[in-house]
Amino acid sequence: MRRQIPLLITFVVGVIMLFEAFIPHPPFDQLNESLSITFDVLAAFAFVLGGGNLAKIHLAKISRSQPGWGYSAVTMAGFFAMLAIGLFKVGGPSGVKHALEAEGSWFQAAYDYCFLPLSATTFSLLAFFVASASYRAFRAKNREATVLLIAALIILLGRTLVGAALTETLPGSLELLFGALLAYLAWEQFRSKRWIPLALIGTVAAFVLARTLYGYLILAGGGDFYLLTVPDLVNWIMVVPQLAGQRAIMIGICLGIISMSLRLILGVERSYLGSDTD
Amino acid sequence: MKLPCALALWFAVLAPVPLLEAQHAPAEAPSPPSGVQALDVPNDSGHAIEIRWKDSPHPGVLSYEVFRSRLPGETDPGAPETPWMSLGTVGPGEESWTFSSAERGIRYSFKVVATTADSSADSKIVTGESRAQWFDREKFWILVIGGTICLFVILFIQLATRGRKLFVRKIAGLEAVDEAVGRATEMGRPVVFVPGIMDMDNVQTLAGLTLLGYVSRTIAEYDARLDVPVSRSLVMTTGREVVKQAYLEAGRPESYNEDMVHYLTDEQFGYVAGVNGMLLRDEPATCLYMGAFFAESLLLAETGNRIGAIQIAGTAMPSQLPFFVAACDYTLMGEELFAASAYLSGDPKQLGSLKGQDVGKLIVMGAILLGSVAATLALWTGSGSLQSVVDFLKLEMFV
Repeated sequence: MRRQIPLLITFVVGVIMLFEAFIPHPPFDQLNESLSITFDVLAAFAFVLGGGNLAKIHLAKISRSQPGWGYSAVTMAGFFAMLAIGLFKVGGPSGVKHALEAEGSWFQAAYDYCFLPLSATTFSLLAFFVASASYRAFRAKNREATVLLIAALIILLGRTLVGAALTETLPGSLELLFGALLAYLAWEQFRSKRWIPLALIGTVAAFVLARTLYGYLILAGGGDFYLLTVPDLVNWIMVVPQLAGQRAIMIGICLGIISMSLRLILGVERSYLGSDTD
Repeated sequence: MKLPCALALWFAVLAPVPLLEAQHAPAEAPSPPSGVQALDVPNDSGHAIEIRWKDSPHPGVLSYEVFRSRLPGETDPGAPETPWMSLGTVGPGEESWTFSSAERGIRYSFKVVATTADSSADSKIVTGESRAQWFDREKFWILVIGGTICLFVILFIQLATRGRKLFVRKIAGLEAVDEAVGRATEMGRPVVFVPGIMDMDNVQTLAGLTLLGYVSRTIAEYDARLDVPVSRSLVMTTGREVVKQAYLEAGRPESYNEDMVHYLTDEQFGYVAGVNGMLLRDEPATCLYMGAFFAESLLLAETGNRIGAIQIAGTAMPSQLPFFVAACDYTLMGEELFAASAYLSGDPKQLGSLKGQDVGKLIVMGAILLGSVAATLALWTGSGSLQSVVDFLKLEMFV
């Protein structure tokens, strides 16, 4: 029974929520919100369990003077201090009808001057961690990592003033760079006597370089000709390959959620219910 | 000097006269907005009425103001009609207003007032009522596609139950779980499992906890140490049940200790500080991050990387995947997280659901291919029928 009742509840609620997605008529229109509120109430009650567990573990550590008990002492001091000034509304107007954030509230002061700066400090560590993770991710260890590195460099350039300035002062520099890279690859194919890749890469390289030179001639004659800029390239990378990859992941996630939800509703997946025995 | 003086006199005295006359001439009143309609907004729970009208041809119209008055309705037939109340103002050229706080079953009167600089004209009064619908037609294709995928999932579960062999590709991250737990056992260090920072109402947390079941069974078999810091109380109670069951199944109930799964805090960065402190002090050999993560993903994974732990992550948050890929040894991307429990359990029923998921991929791939070809050909040929196929796919089917 310990499993059958939760499975039945999961099935009934899951099916109702499926209907709710397609039926805007009452009472279905309010179901989602009502169930969310019910869940929040349950979670609020469960918070007592969490707080109790926190106190139990850390108080035990302190009483046994286990290694690192000093950290536990700081945790417990913060926990009980916030609990006390919050429950008794120290510094602010007391009574149920007054908010915790009222003028002069110690709770609000502790939140503003202790909790927020500590949170911001932890969040700020992200800047350093992004730098170290990027360094590791962008090392050109293999072909995929090299493509990632080049794309990242272009985006870094394009999102700063340098990128725009580079192609404005040196129009066609991207085409020349790309053409030179292709010409080098073609030369490598020639040295390896791989004629088909040579023909393909060489044709593209010749086209890119010829188009750029033609563009210079048009521009020199006072005409108008489009040459690629770094910001445009960045925009293309973000809108085409990056977005395509992201959408592929999103589609996979959606299908995964459908499959997982069906497994839960149908009771095929039940390991989250835990033990069948007391 | 006579000519300039005469001109000055003319400009000062005579020229303003027609101007003043023009200013005092009565302005032509705008024609009232025509074709006023009050229509129920479809596919909703009956809380919106759209008021439409035709733009006045008068060039001086500065705005349209929409008014409503409540009439006695089905729910309160004895209620008096209320005075006119302004709903809002829109500029010239606009031809509709949505009254989105209508009460279901109440009839309302509406009028639209066209206003110029110094006059206004009321439209005729129309009445309308909002009604709730029993089916959201905008979601028809979602129902069809979703229903098809669900049917195939159920079909493949049935086929798998009857003993049909199903091929599932190898997922490197999951293959590495045993190796990672074995390493922790050899080194005598704990395995840390982080089930994300969301609550039990998030499907990623559920996926993470099902994985926790498998991981903790392996840990119990290897007799390694497990540490599961959580940020939600309900996740803690569920996690304890899952781990307890795993230890029972592994035949080591005596090794189970409920404090393996313990609560830290609901606060995002407080939780990060707590977990990072644990990682630096205990130096676990293996870190598993499975669930919903936000900014804390990299803070946790980089700290784990610094202590040299084997790290396996899985999340369906696309914005956090690059961070996990950069900092972890293996990453389960999106759908792999949801497939993990089925993959690891080896249960034919669960594997069948993965096959059903593949049919969904086929449908999406077919639609993408059809859309790409139709859009390219429509661009080249200018064909209206091909463009309508593209519009149907974009605006109707996958809206």
